[in-house]
Amino acid sequence: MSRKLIFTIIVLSFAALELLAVRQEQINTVYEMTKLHREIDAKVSTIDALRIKIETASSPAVLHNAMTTVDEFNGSE
Amino acid sequence: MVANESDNKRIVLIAISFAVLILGLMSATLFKITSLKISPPIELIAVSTTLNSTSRQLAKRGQLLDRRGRILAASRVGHRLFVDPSLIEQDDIESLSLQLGELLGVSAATIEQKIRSRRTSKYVVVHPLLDHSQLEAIRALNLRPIGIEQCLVREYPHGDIGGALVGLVGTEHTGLAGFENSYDTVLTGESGTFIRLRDIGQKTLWVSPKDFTPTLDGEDIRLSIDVVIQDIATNYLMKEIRRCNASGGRIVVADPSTGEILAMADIIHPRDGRSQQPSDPNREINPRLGRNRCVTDPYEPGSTFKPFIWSVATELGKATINEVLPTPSGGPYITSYDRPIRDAHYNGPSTWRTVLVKSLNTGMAIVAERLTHEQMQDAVSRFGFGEPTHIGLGGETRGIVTAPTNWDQNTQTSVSIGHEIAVTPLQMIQGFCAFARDGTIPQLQMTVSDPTDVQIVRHAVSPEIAAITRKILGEVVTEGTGQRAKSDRYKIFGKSGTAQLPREDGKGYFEDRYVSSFIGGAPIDNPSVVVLCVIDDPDKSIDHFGGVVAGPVVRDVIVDTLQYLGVPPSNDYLARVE
Repeated sequence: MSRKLIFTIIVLSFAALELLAVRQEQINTVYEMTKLHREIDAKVSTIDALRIKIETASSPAVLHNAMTTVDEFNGSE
Repeated sequence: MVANESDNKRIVLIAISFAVLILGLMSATLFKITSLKISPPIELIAVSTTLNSTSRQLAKRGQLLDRRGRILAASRVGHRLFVDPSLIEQDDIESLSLQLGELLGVSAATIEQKIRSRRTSKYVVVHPLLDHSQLEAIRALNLRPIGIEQCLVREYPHGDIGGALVGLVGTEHTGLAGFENSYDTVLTGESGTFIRLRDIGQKTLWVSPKDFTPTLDGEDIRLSIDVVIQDIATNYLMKEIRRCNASGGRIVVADPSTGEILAMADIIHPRDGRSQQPSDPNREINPRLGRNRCVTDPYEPGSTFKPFIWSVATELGKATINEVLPTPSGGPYITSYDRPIRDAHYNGPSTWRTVLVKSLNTGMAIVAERLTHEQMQDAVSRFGFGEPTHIGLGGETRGIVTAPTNWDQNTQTSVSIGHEIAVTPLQMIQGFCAFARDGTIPQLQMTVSDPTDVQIVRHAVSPEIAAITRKILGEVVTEGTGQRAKSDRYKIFGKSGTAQLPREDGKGYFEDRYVSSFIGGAPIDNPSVVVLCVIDDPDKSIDHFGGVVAGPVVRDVIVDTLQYLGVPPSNDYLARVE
């Protein structure tokens, strides 16, 4: 009877500890996920900004100006 | 036996002690939780806020892309800096302003004034858009009264190219003008939210799935516009407007096989000391806010309207191509109701073909009198004049066509030479597609469409008549009034028009002011592109005939566009080159 009681208490204690550990792990995971989402959002923002920069740099007007400058430079030589 | 009993007692005692210990610990924890809830320490209150925080996830507005996927308008996430003045001590305002001013490169006094002027507020924007280095520096400060908020920034990478077409968004990121406004409902997304349970260190502990509403980004729209063709068209138009000191100009480039608009530009170029010039007060606020006159403002097409009447009269058998008409050798032709009709150059008796090639008003008037009023009205409506094109752009008008009840002999003659009728550039380009196709008129499109699924809105003339008209329009360019639009590289067909500018007060026309235009397409055997150029009020002392002013613009735009599209030059050109 006494052994059974001790065994039950120990098992329940371990179970409670395990549940706490699982819960903590869950919280850590959510925290890590949030961090990852933020990083992804930041990267996506960076990519968006870069795409716009590339588009601006390759715009016909910019290329036209660049060509004119090159032509002027060649002409001056 | 005695030993066993004593062992059992000891075990029970240990078990009870263990249980009491656990119960004691649990009670202590419970007590701690209860006391924190009931009377938390002051230090804790100072640093703790609500444990649940609602975060808003910004929905990105869809992108506007050109037909090849180039970005015309796109949103990116930016960051704005705000402060909560209620969290700043009176003595700290100056030092905080200095600190922020140094990081942001703005006057500390301005920041201080902003904060002091709204001391009771909890939200004062200090900087509307932080760059990357500023953002990092502000984050590193980690000061409690300072907040960084995400915001959407709309970027237009191609600047002024097609700027007025693309339009712009307002402070709330909703479309105010142009495509941004026309397609606002599709482009706009729906922001999402989620509620986070946070710990005292503001770390996210938990996000419940039921408290999460996902973000729905706006849809991208692929327009039929091509940035390169838009640039070509705008540059040639601007160059000509400057050369002939005109007060403005419009140009539309379309693909007749699909009805897609490849480029569309509208330039206003005020001239000093001139009355009745095109104007648009909205452009003075922002060029992107201006109305698109290609869609909204009708004009008198003059002789560019002749092919439409010419083709229908031919189809109805009112004149045959080689029939010689009694066009005068000098002096005006007098109609049956005694109205004199004049030509720029008198040609003597001419064939029906020559009437179109040499743009003879007299020949058009002769045949117009052979048509009934109903037939002429039908000819006008067959090509869609008097009806909007339903292209989907705001402010589209239907042009001006005289009502059948007011239609008299004067109207009959005037309409045959493109007077007493007003059309929008979009209507003209749509109607002209009939000659570049098999006589059918496609629905004009502003977005990329499936070439195998072109919507036909009208059957204007038969395929044979469309082909004959196109052939004779080719002769207009090789031997008629459109010779300045001739190209060595591609065989162009087209028609010029020089209409007198009507007075705004309704008292007739200006004697020496014109609307000069040219409409054309190429290659003549299998047209890939049609272009309309309208030049408003060119300086007569420089040039004013449509074939001379607008013709070269259409030619240059056609040649550059076809080269860009990889359309091979004509066989004649290739043979010459070889």
